Amino acid sequence: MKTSDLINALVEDQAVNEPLFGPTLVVRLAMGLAVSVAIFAAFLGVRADMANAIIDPHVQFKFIFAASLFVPLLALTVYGLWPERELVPMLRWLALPMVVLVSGMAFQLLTSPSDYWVSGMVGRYPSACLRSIPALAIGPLLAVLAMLRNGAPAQPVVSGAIAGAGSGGLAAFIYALHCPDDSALFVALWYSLAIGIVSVIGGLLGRYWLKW
Amino acid sequence: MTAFDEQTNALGVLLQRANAGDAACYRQFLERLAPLVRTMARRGIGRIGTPMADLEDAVQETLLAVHLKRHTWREDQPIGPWIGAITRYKLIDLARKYGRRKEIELDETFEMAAPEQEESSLPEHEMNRLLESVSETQRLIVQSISIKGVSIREVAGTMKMTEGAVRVALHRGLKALAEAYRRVER
Repeated sequence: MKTSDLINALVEDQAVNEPLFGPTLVVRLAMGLAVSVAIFAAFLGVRADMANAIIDPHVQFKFIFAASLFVPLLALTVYGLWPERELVPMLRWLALPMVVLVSGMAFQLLTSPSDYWVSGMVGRYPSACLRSIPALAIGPLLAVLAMLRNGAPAQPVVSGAIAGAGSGGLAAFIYALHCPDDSALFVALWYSLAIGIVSVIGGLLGRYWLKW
Repeated sequence: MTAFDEQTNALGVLLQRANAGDAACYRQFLERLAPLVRTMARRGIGRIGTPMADLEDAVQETLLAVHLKRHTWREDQPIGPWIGAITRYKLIDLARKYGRRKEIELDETFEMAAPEQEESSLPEHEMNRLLESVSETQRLIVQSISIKGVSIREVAGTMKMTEGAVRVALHRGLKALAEAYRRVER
């Protein structure tokens, strides 16, 4: 087939591509989030003492950290939809959650006695955290990857990993509604690990699913 | 304004009209784009140092990607960087198939690019072999429309399908072809 032959076929193919931001995207995102909400409602639920706990800055920190992660990372995921956009220089935005995390850890160390540091870091339910955050992240991650697949990310693995970390951050935000472990050191260790796992999953899926 | 700007601006206008439904403009767009991509691809392949025999395949694969991803061009943005990014993406993919990882800079090469026509004597391209992996109906439709230049209506008549079904099969066939390209080992 000559290139001019191929052009004949391309001209005849007048199928309209799905727009980057259209109703399909909204439906997919809603479905992804619905999966998370369903998992949360079925297996986790809001902690019983939430009304009192939310006054505690240590509890608030979990939400602030999660939001400082998922807002810039999901924005970056969208940024990478177009092929001429370079993602790597934009990774400097990761400094934001880093600063938030370090501040939270410093606050924790200043506000709790040193014999609570290690027990607080290990926490009571680390394995629940490691299982729940990835489970809550799967729905949004698949929705976001479907969005990327319709775009043209120049670095599929990087885009997938960023989407994974963003979805993991969103899942951490939801999990914080349930999570009874309130030490910032717990968040630094287990939340980061769980979000890291989702990021690796996103990168691996990106490798197979986001190439175009 | 440089000659490069004029060239790419003209491409942008054509694609804009094509997106509004003007098929003749889309043909002109692709016919002007192909020689530019060919020059960029020749320089790119020269830089990564892989066989020049892949040139026309790289051009075809890039055109296919431009076609399938044309909704990612924002009409308020210059089209040159977008085309350059897609070509670069495809060349990086090609380099990877040979186990090379190289950053490919194309911007200035695109600027200096003199459009280069396809060598008419070139033999079979990979595309013919890849067509074998596409389902039979889709292959027949892609082949009739591309190589034989038959219209969708005529294809629908001879294959006893509705025109809508032929259009769908053509689109799926092109997507399958792009997918098959990605899987090629070199």
